[in-house]
Amino acid sequence: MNADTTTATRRPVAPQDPVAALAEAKGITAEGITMVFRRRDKTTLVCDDVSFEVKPGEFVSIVGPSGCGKTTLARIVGGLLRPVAGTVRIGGEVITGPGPDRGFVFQQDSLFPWRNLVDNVRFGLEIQGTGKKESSERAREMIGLVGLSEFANHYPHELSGGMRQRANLARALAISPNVLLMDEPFSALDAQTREFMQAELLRIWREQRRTVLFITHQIDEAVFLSDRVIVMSSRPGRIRDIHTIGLPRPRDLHVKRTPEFVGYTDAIWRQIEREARRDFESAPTES
Amino acid sequence: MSSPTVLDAPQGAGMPKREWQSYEDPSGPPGLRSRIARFYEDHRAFIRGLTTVVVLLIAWEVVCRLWMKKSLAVAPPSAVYHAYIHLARNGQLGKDVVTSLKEFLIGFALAAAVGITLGLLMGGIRAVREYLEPIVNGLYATPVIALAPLFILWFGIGINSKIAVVFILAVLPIVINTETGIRTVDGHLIETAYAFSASRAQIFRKVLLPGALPLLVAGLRLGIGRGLLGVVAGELFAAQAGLGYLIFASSQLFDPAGVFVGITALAFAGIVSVALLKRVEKRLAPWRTDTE
Repeated sequence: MNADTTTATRRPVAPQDPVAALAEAKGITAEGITMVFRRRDKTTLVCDDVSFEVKPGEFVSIVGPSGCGKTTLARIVGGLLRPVAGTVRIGGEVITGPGPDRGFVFQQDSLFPWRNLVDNVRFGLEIQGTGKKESSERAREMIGLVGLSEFANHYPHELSGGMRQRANLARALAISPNVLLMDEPFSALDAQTREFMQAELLRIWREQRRTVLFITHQIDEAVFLSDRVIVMSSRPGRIRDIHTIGLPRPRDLHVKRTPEFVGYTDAIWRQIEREARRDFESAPTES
Repeated sequence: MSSPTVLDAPQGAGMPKREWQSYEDPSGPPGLRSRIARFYEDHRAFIRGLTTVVVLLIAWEVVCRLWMKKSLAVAPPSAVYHAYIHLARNGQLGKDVVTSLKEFLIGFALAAAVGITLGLLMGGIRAVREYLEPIVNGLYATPVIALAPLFILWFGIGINSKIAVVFILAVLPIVINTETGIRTVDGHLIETAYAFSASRAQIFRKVLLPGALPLLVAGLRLGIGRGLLGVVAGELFAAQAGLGYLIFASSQLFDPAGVFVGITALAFAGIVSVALLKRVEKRLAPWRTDTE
């Protein structure tokens, strides 16, 4: 293959230089987000006047007990849901629906079973009209980034749960989004795989320097990954507190055993313990 | 390759070691015996099924020869075989097969085209579904085979009436399965496509269509069975040629061998079409066949 022509026709790949990549990351501004779910005659206030900001290139997590509306919030930022009131801006522009500026990583397995890994990862580019050759090339690059090169031609049912979530991440990254939205992406994984995935995510984030909004119900996961952790309370979902995590970067899994780390998780746990306990004792809970 | 001197692992020359061989008598000679055993292991289900068929055929032959020699209602397998040869030689079998095949293929092709189109529209567009659902479900519950005499009135005793019967029988399971296929595509996958800003048309083409494919093919498979039924039933009512006509005419002439020729030819046609469709399915949906 002629190297000159391939580089000439190639889509601009994610810059390897972190500083250059920072220019691509955009911030998120959410203002007065209010969301109501109606079921029959019952109305539930899911998010009540939620406002927050994520700076370009920043890693922010939202934690809270189940039913606090954190997933709803992610879906609103993703443009999958329209809030009753409030606006979301990505890099200053108000969003009206899904867009290529945001890459979404879902909680559940959402790979297309009839597409192999390459075709799954290039799905977003295909939707945008990028040619097959170009998008496959980009997909392979992202598959390499998440460490699945050997499995590029495998179908989802041939991959483990952790591999599938890495593939989901690769698919979101392939469209070079300004913002990465991750809705409890590791919650279906076993404890060990989850730990590795957290470390992997930090490595990828270091290389790619996207803005990340990460939804989780696991406090230690939020603290380990994030620059800031937003704590939400439930029914109605409101922002209860925002913690700035001062742990030095780059972080590895050993950080989790330091007193500073435990200090952060304890502080956050105390804030949501009462509500979590209430949920625990008043079964059945809404999901 | 293991040498025969290894007592606890007798193996045929060049054969990979297999689990079952470790249970074999270590003193037995390697070679032919283990080769037969190996063949049996590999094709066990097929050999067992074939055994039943062969035993039944022999029993049938024996019963006919011993106790029903003069019967006008039953013919032994050997007589069916001779009838095959006879009908093939005088050209009648060929004519009947071609007629029935033509009726089936045209009717089934029309049913597939109309059924898939309607099923996709009903699955994808709510208004279409609401307009058509009652009539499709109603017809599916009706034994539409009862329409066959009416079709013969409308389209005559030639192949057109049979095409119509095949069509009406085959089209309904195809419509219903295609529609169900579209409607049961995993909602998460649709949402994922939407999150990547796919348009409605893109979601339909890239998510709903491939997602519905397995059920769509299941509908085609049901359609084949019902279409073959349509061929025979249509020809039984009124026809000039065809396998159903052969069955009907032979029974009128008290020729049970001729009846069995028609029946076995139809059985063969059914088995071949379903096997062909399985191949198509494997090609269209490789992600499913791997797990089966």
